[in-house]
Amino acid sequence: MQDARIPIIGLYDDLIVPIQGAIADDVMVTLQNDVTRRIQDGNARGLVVDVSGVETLDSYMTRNLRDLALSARLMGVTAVVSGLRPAVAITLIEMGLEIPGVHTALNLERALELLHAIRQEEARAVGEPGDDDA
Amino acid sequence: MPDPTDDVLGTLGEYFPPAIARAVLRSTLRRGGLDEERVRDSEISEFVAALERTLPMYIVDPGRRGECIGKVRRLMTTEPPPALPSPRPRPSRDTPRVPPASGGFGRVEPTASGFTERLVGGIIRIRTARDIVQACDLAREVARKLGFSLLDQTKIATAASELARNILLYVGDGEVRIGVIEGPKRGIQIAAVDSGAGIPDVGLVMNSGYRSRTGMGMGLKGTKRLMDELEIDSRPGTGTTVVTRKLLS
Ligand SMILES: Nc1ncnc2c1ncn2[C@@H]1O[C@H](COP(=O)(O)OP(=O)(O)OP(=O)(O)O)[C@@H](O)[C@H]1O
Ligand SMILES: [Mg+2]
Repeated sequence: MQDARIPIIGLYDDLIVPIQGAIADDVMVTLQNDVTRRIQDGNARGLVVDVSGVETLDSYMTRNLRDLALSARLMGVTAVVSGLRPAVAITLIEMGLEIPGVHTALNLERALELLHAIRQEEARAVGEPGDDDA
Repeated sequence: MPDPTDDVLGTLGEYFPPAIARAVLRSTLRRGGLDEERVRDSEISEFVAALERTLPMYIVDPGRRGECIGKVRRLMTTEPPPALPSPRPRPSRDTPRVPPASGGFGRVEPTASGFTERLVGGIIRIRTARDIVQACDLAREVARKLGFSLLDQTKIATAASELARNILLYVGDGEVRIGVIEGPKRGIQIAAVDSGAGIPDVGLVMNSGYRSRTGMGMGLKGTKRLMDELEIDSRPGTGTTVVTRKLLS
């Protein structure tokens, strides 16, 4: 059995949440609270939820994951779900489940690249320098 | 003569909690093509035959199973059954039974459908979110031992999770049983049994346009897509039994 709390790792402007194994519901609720608190308290701009350690996602957990990502987005933080295993992804598609409105990336590294690219794009749009040289 | 249904239920009640006893009764009647609600006097022998086919799913131990069938059969005679010592305690249902490593899964008995079913994985009582995880892990483990692909293992584990989740969310207490089926093809069977309020309109929740208030309404429909077969027996007041199977190709 895993710890009751999932760690949240801060990396520069981003928060990384590595999820391992099955997520019990109470753990998910705690995580949701922890993430929103970290976003409120800090200056996070991106959130990566890495699910490469997750072997099974049912409809309920998928909804929790989506809600986590969407609540981050509502707080102005771009969320990416990374590392969805092929078998899990295919299963979700076959069930007719989607994670709409949430970015996905092959792995954690790509997710961080994606967040970086999104920020540069946003910066260009508002005519500010990108965060390259920050 | 009094309605034998109560006696049959009473006997099954020595082996299962009342809700499960009712589910076993229902499942046996359905399997025997008998009246959906009750056992009639004239049907007892047919009922016993159907019970012999159904019970391997529910009682793994051949001795206990034979004893249970014997007791039900004895109800056929007009003699009252001999007084029995206090019923045997049920085995703990909180810990799953792990299949033997040898791959020897125990006795096999034929069913009406031409398949035989063996309860190898075990029974998991669903009362907390942790139990869902356990059901899910056990389903994957049995699927893996059977030789299902990684993708199919994932689908099967997800199906177990959906059914267990529904029990927890909508009833709060029930069981998930994981077994192996043999016949023209081998496969896995997952049965979720509860005695909750039931699903008022099974046709509706399986309809492709359905969206539930509580969730996304994708659980049962999605499970059907992931597996080869899915049957739902649910009526208000008597609870819900969902049985789903996936066969090795
Ligand atoms: N064991 C059960 N007992 C009583 N009602 C149930 C049971 N299982 C499902 N239901 C009812 O059937 C509906 C459909 O279930 P289904 O699993 O398909 O969708 P959901 O649980 O609402 O959402 P999702 O599974 O997508 O998160 C549920 O909303 C619930 O009302
Ligand atoms: Mg559901």
